[in-house]
Amino acid sequence: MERRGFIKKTAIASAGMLASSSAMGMFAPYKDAIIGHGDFRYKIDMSWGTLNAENYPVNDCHEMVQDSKGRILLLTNHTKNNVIVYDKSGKLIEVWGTDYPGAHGLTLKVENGEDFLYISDNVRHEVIKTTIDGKVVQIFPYPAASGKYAKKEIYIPTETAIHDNGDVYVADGYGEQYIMHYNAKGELLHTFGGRGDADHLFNNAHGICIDSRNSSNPTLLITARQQNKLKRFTLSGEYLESYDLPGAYICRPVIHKENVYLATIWSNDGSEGTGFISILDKNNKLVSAPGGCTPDYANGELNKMYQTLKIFTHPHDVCVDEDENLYVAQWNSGKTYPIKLVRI
Amino acid sequence: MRYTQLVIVLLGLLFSCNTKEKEEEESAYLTAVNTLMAAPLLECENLFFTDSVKVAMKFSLPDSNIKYTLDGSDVRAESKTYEKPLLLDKTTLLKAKNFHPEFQSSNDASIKVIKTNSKLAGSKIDVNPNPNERYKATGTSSLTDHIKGTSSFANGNAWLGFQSDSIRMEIKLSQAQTLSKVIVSTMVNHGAWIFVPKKITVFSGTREIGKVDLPKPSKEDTFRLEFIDIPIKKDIYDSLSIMVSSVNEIPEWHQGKGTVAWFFTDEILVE
Repeated sequence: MERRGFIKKTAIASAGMLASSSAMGMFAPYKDAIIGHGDFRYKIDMSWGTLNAENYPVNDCHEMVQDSKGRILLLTNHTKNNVIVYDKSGKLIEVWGTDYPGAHGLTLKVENGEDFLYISDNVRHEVIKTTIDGKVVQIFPYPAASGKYAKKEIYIPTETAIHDNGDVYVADGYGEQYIMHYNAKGELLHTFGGRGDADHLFNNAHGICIDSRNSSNPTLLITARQQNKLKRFTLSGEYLESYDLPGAYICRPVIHKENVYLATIWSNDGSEGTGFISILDKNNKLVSAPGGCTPDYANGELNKMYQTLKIFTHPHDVCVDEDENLYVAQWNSGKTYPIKLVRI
Repeated sequence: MRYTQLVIVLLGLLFSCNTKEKEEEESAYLTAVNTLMAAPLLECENLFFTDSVKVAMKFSLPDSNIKYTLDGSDVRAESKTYEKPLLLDKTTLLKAKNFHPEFQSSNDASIKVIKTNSKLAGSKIDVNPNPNERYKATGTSSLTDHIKGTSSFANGNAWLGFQSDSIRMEIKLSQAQTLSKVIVSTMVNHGAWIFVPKKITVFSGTREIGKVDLPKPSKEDTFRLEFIDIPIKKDIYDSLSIMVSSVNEIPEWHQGKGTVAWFFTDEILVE
């Protein structure tokens, strides 16, 4: 509530300054900002989900998902309330979770009609599976069996992807850059990836998801954030192809209908505070960049992307609801709550 | 209080223009006038040149335009509009800014290009301590190659990086020259713990011939390529010694508080 008030006051104060500096200012159109390109354009609700920080504090807002009831869940690494559950209007429903100091990745999977959450905790060095209200049902500890990790501390998982058959993929995005492939029982089947510049290797394998847009041939999409690439692998870990997004430091791929949405934490040369949102079409081409420059392909290559509007600081995840509105969680952005983009 | 009337006018406008927003008074959207544009991107091949250098500006947001100045003054709505790359033939501080009919004008972006006939090429430079293993460029010859480093300090061949209280650079000139100024090219990148040093002193032998004290780092100052001018006593020199005193305690507001800051340099010039 306080932030809403603050934003309104700021808006009024700046309008006031305009009015006093120019006679026209008083009658200047007081238009809503519209961001994005092509069909993917949005108005910006900066005050969505803002809570009293004394009661419901956040540190980094890392990721967000929508559950089967349509509620929006936010994962933060503040252990007073690691999970904050909102309705779509941004009203608080409930909070839970005090045991996830490194709460980073949040994936929701419906299993036998029930919603389950997979939390990648990069301080605990493990992945925790919970019910939708936070009861722990399974833990995927650091993968000693892989032989890639001499000690727990160098395993720093950032994200999970869950296949319909129950298999779990974990990206060690801040650790050794391997992708762990488990079965539903938590047995490690296989490890692939690792650190490096080659196509099948990663520099910051930050996010992972299952791409079922081609339902007969689901594959894995994995971000190589420092390489500004989205990489496709088979479900058994063979490298297929990459999509270059020069200048876009993409966090995790989120698939909604035929599009891929990616919070882009930095842009251009990777300077602080230069984030925006990237939206790819069914051919994995960038078609809209809310907060970023106009996407433009010349000879099949995308121009180097950069921020044009200072709306986002460090977007870390995008959640897409059924009306294709976006909820954007941000890392290291002054402990602010998510921003909602309302599609127009 | 003096805005009360305006508030009423504005809310009136908001409600009369948009019935959708009337129902959701709580979720008024961010307006264009309150949305700040990012600064334009300035591109040039090299910040050092001998004859002329081309500078291009870039910003892809429909209806925006870039205005600029070449005399170091702040950019205003009346300043020149950018149309095509500029060819500059003298040392210039260029400032540029984005304007738009709806969005809030950006902050200034600036770039300084330096025309130089610095005769350090062929000089021998010894540094103590040695640069960090990860940031040693192609050795100290990088400091006199007239190649300006880019913002990506980690993967270029231009930048030498040091994390030490003080760095001493001993320059043995290839021939004695009349000199009145030393220029140290450096970088501010607080996100990467790289700060402008506290102080740079120039010696000839043991005699101090020039010194600058640099301002304390400011929180708002996140990234910048910077040239530090150190006027020295005009004379004929065959060797110089440059002493860089780093920020030995990163300020309280930074996550690296209390530790020694990094100092990065990619070029030393003399005039």
